[in-house]
Amino acid sequence: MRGAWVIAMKDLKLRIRDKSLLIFGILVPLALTLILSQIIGPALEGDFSPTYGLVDLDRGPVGAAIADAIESQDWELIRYDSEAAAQAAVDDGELSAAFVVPDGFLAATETGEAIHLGVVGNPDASISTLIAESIATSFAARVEAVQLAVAGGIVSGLGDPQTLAAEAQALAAAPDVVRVVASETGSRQLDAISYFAVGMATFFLFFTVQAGVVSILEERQDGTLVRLLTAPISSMTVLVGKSLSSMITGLLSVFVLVVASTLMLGADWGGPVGVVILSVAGVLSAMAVGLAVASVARNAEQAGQFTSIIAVVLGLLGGVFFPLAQTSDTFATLSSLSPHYWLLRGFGDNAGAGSLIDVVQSASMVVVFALVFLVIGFARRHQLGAAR
Amino acid sequence: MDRILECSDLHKTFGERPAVRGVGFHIGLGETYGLLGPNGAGKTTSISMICGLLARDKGSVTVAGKPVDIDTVDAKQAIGFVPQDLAIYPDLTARENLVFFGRLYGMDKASLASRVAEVLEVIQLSERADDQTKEFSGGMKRRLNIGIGLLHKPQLLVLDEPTVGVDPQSRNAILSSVEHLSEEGMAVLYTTHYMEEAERLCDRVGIIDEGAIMAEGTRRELVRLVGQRDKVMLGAVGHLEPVASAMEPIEGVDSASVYDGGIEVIAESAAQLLPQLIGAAAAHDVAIRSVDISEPDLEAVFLHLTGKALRE
Repeated sequence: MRGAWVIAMKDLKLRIRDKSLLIFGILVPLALTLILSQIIGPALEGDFSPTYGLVDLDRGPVGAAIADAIESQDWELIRYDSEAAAQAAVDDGELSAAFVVPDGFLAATETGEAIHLGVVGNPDASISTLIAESIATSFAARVEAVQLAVAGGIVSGLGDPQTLAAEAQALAAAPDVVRVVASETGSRQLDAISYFAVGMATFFLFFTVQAGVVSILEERQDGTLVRLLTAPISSMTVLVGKSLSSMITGLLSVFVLVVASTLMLGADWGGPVGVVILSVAGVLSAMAVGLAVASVARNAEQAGQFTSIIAVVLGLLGGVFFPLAQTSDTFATLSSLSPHYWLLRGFGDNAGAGSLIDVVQSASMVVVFALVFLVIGFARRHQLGAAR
Repeated sequence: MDRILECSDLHKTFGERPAVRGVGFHIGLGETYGLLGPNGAGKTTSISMICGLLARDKGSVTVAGKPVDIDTVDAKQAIGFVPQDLAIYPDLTARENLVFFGRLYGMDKASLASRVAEVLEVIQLSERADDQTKEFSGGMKRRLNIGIGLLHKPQLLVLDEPTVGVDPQSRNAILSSVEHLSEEGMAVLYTTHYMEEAERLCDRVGIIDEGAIMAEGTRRELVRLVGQRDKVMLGAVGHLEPVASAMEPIEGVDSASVYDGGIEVIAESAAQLLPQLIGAAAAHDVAIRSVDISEPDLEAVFLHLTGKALRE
């Protein structure tokens, strides 16, 4: 362990001396946090103010419930008499999206016939349209469930059709589905500065930490690895030393960013325990990927390319620049494969209404990701040696 | 003589190509052993196995009585390794480089500081001790490279072609340092493809080619092994036939014959016989005007053993 510590301290000295830790670990993420929060931030938080249209041809409780859902978010709602008028407003950019409740919508819940709750979307307001689609889908699912329940009730003789239909109407119009969605989102929502502070910290963490582990290949090229391996220490000690320096570098970088973004930009990372848990998990995952890459790459240049590609892809998937998971189910699934996604989610819980258990759950997903790559890296550690 | 290094029957194959085939030798305390061979002969592969850097296919290595293998820790304490390529950190100072490697070898703070100062003195870098090594000349870097290998006072110092690409002045300084090491009792394993270095430094030499040691021994033993003798060209004029006849019976002389402008003598240890040869000429009133002795060297031995020049 002494040997590992000696190697770690030497690496740390070199990283501080060449200023890469200062630049890529602290200054660049901090600057990007500031820039991105100014450019993209308004679209992600309080300044997000879509205008929706409603064409309620059914003139029943469903349209009223949709209106209630929109207005409860303090979003603007304009009513139209015809779908064509709403479509024109969407085309002109006056509306972000419009809901169309067709005539006879509620009655259809009684008979079980197929009927569509329409959404007219503005391609230039994709997030607003996605939200509208989400609300409409929730209502449609609710109506479908009620139709099944009513049909089941009639068949089973649980009540007369008219009473069941009335209950179904009230149930279908209940807007609680929308409320549940809003509440779920709210608990994991970071404000723009915090979102980008977390995003940039995790994004650059992968570069900073991986560079430390991959430096073992630079040592191989520079000839110093040969000297380390002829010293009275095992190859595992060398690897542990490299990993240790990467962990220290990564944690140092994150903690400086936490303090700096909190004091200088007003970011909210949440409680310190959660920050430590998630930071350690994040550093571990970045280190594990670096280790696995170093064990398969032919040289330091190739390893640098691999780690950059992996860091960018995982970062994009994880949503460090934009919450990709919210755009489609496919991206939601892909995002969940990225440790960045779980880190953002964990920090969101830590800063929002999530509990420490939620934070630990997210951190656990990151650790699972790390373990997979750690196993690969340590199993192939002899590939890191000189000409083995 | 206590044996510090013993290796036997070392084999290593890379893919289909055998790089080392049955290499084995031993080195005693205070002895300098040279592995002499051209590039690609298997020198670096052999010492990589000896230092525990490379897993061998077959064979055994012990250093100071302890077996050496990949991930061996104990035996490596007795080895100091100076790789062919520079193995120093350019962003660290000379002192920081030495301190880092000293700590890896488990040296405590107090003894490390004094030993670092000592080594800096030996490698003549005391005045530049606190400069980053990226500012050093090639020769200074080479000296530091060797200094790191010496730092923990190893029982066996392994130097892999330490003078390749070094200017003559630094080369001479390096060779002088190695000579002193063996005087201090350190065992040295020295690989080179420079015949002159092997002749100057090594008590015994193993001639290696195509992964196998072709012959081993002192310089004199190797020369004798291939039946080579010194050739002495004595420049003289006059009646030379009787002089040549008088020289032939001298012990150590194989033959003496007259050529245009002098007498050619084939002998063992010609330099030692020179007074007797000159005396024989003087006895016949013949004055020797010039002497040219061609001693067979390791280059000739290598040529004899392998049929090719050492630097081909």
